[in-house]
Amino acid sequence: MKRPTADHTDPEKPDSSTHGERAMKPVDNHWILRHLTRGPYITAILFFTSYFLFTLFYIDPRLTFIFNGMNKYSFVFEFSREYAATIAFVPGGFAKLAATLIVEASELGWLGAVLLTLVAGGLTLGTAAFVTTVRRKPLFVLHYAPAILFLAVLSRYSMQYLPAILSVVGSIILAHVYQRASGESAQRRCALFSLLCLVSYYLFSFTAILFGVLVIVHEFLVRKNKIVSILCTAGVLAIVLFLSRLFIFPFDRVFNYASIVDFKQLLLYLFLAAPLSALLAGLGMFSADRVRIGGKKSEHGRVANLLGMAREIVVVLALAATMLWATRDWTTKTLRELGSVVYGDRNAVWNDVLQKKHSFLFKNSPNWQSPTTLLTAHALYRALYHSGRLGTDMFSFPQIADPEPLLLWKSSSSNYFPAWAASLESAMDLGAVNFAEKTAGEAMENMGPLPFLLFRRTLLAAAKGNDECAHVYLNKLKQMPGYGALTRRFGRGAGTADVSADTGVVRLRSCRDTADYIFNRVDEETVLSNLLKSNPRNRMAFEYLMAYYLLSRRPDMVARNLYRLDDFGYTKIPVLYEEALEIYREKDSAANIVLPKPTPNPLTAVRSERFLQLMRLYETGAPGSQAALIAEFGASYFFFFIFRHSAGDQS
Amino acid sequence: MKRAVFLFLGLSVIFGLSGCGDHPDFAAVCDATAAADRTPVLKPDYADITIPPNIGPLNFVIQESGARFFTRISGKRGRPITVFSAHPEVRVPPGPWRRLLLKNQGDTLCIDVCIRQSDGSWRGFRTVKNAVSGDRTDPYIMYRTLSVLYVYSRDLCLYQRDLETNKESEILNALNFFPGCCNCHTFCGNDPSRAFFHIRTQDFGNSALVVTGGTVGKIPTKFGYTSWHPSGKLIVYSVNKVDQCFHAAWKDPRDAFDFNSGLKVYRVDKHKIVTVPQIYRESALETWPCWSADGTCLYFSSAPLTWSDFKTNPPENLKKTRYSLMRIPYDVNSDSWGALDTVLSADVTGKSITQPRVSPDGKFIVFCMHPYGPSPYLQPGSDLYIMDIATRKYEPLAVNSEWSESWHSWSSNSRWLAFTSKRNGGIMGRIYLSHIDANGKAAKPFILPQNDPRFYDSFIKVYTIPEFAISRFAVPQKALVSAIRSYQHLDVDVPAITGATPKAPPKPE
Repeated sequence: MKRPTADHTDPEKPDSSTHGERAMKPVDNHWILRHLTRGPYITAILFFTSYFLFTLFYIDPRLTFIFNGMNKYSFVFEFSREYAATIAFVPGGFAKLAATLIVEASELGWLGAVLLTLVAGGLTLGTAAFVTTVRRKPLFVLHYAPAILFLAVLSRYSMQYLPAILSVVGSIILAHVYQRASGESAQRRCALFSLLCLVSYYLFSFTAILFGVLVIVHEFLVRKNKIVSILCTAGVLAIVLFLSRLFIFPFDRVFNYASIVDFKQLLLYLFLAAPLSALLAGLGMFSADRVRIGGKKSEHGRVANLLGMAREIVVVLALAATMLWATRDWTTKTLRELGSVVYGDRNAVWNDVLQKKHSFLFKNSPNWQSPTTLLTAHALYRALYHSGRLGTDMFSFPQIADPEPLLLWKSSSSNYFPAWAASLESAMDLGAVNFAEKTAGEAMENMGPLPFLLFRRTLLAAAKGNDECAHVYLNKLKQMPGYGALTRRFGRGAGTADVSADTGVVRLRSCRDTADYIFNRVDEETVLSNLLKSNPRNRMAFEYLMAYYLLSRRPDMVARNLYRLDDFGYTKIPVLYEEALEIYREKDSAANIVLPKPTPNPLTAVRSERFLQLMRLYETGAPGSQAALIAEFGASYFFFFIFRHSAGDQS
Repeated sequence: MKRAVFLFLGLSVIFGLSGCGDHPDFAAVCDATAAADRTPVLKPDYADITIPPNIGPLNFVIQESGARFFTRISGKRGRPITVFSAHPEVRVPPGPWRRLLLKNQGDTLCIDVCIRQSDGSWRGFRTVKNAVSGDRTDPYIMYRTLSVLYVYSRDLCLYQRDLETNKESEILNALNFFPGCCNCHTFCGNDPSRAFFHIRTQDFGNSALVVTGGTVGKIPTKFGYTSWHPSGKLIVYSVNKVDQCFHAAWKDPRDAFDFNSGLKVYRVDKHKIVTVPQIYRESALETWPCWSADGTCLYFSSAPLTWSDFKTNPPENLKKTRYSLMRIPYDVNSDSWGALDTVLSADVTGKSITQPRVSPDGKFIVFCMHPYGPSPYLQPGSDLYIMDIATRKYEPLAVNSEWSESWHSWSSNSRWLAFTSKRNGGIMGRIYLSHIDANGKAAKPFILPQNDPRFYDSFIKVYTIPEFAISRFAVPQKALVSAIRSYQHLDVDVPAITGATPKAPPKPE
């Protein structure tokens, strides 16, 4: 790592004209001192390698991409004149652009991890350079502290703060540029400060405040008696920038003076500026001197310095440990699990969805149902359907007698963004075209024109024969780099491509409702039955309808719809349907049921007997009977029907 | 010597880039080229249309394949405009365009296109002929753009456009009071110095802004669809209890209806809201008010209220609810209202008649007809009809498509009609302009021109409520936003219940 320049007149400092390592000539062969000679490089390599791996494998930048737009902040890059204008003519536009590129790149996990590690690197280098120049002595490891704090933000997937963090990095670097380039002349310093302040304001908006504060801190510590000119310049600049923001530059499409968002940002930056500058300045006071191997320090001084380094190491390690502990807290963990579920759900990675442990489902079942459990259950239903296991393994995970997770219709109308996206996916699968269109529209109103929404709207418009509208969405999508694969799907050039011939469009068209009804307040049964009426070969609508009846504890309806199995070419009756049939026959032995060609497995009747045996034991309170029930029948419909929840497959 | 070399290189680069050496003589090329038996495909469709003499350049894309594109725009008089390019986008220079149109008022404007193929041969087409009307259009048009709306829009903005230059500027951006919505805007006649805006916000409440002579007043109550009396003394507005529902198999899933609605009167001169029993009936739904040109009668849409349950969505007889076109005489001097008159009954048409707009010359009334309900903009079957007020004969305007046409507005000389149509794919409304002659016959409409001829290809928002204006709306956005965010408002006498809410549901028997 290159060390910043230091004062040539200070005998305590290494030569500023050379790299620190070159200046350090070992005279001692002690291994600790040998290590310390190469320490900065080794430490940096170790730190950033760990940082990269932690970001890639634990935080998983792909989840950052998935959460884009889920909290009303969406980062979408596009090649268009309007977008370029929002970047070029809005203060802070470039910070937003950089954040957008990072979020977009995070779709490829490794690339996102590389970029986030680079941001951390910039934060570390900037901190080291700034603090070292202020205190005229290099830091040992404390400059890694801000990068560790940055990890805490990343682990929360709160990407709306990313532009602010990038602005902080930029401001620190600009402050260091000031340190390097400012001379002794007051005019030169004021001119440079003004120039950089304007650049900072243009690039980072109100984070220019941080730049200003850092420069003032520098001036205060380095040139105590010459600070007045800089303070006056800062005051004038602040007034000029504020007034220009108010009256002169109509940069923002958001009307500047009235914008609450801007006001909140201002508060945020003011809030950030104080502790950050205090941190950077404080680092200088707190940190140890670097051991100058080969220097003329006494043995006592060397020990004191080693102790100082140990102190720094302890602080950084404590910070890292705290951060690590914080990333394992319940909220973050749930958020991560939720992200991975949504990722699998949106990208059709069914194995991933099914193989995840989903520990929180088991932990809280059956007493508590959160949006997260609803979403997970929804993803699991989809994954099971697409894996051909919905009729057999539906109760292999904990769930309660509530059909809401099947389609998430109510949840998607309660402003819960991930539910919108998930509900859209299942509606697209089912061919509920108008419901999907409504959901996609509402999602886009809230989450912004995210590419995955534009793509789905393209398919939906084409499925309804609105090809011209489909092309408008497709053309918009084409302006967004990285989505070429989606647009190429329709052939070269959206203007000439036959969108309506796409297989996805053809499938949607074949499944869509043909008879109209108003679906505001209808239940899942009406929706699925109507889809099945419009297209009796809609297998997903059939399996979901059966799942709905199972979840609603209506085995009679399961039994009455068994005849439809022949329409879909089932070679055997799925076990859960058989169990429902068994329950129905138990209740009404005279029921006249039209059975499909495959005959029910006689073992199901045997299992039913066994279940009843265990139930009798359970009712008498026999020890171990509950555990036996759960172990043998936790994933069965018998258990779910009686207990109104599934214990899941806990084997 | 060095200088000469640099000069030579520089000039070579400049000429090379400009393609001057490649520029053929249009007349020679076209004369030598056999014209195809068809006109070229232009996008937007600017063929066989009638345009105002003061419209901005109609830029377009030639949707034909070729390596070079040569376009000549000419009239009987004036200097032709030629555009030669390697790409099919044709951007017409504004100055020559303006001069050409002015010289050819009442005559024909021709567009000739020749295309050079990759093998060097040229291909010609039949001349595209457009009529340049002698009737000027109002120089400005105001409209909203917003995303395809389901619940709320966070990118809603009200713009004004100079039709002579295609320059667009913001009047009011809803981000300034986000989350909020800028609903309908109305002018007195076509004069934007007397304007009215309805605002809904979460943080600053619902209000209406009344702009008169550069000053902005705020009325802290809800207004629906509004119409200024030509005298400027009063505004009639609707009070709607709106709800929406969604269709499983419609072209557009969205539908909107009024559980209840009625018309009220805001006296601008007295700052008072009053109720007129004839247009605020318990047994009827009244909406879409529109004053006649002379202010002697008020047109509006009305349907019988056939449900008593005001909570079940959709109401029981929604698809049977059809609005008739009504009118009621009014004398501004005595402030007195006459008796209701059914101008066109829904029983006769079998359709709902909404959004009546009377032409400023008082001869015609244009309205929407659609299967049911009060929301033509959400019904693909909505078409525009024109009625001769004197004879009460009506017919469909020759501007309709299979999709929804609605939100129409007359120019101040009654010769131009602006309206939104969803003909480009059924969802995204675009503004079209059409010439209406003295007999009420409409010419083929054309889409609102843009500087970028590919603008509409990727514009995912919707245009609504185009309103012609005779001059620029001069009140700065800052003044409007300040009024919206302010707690100060006009001291308006608002009736306790009826001013802000629709009439109470009828009591069950």
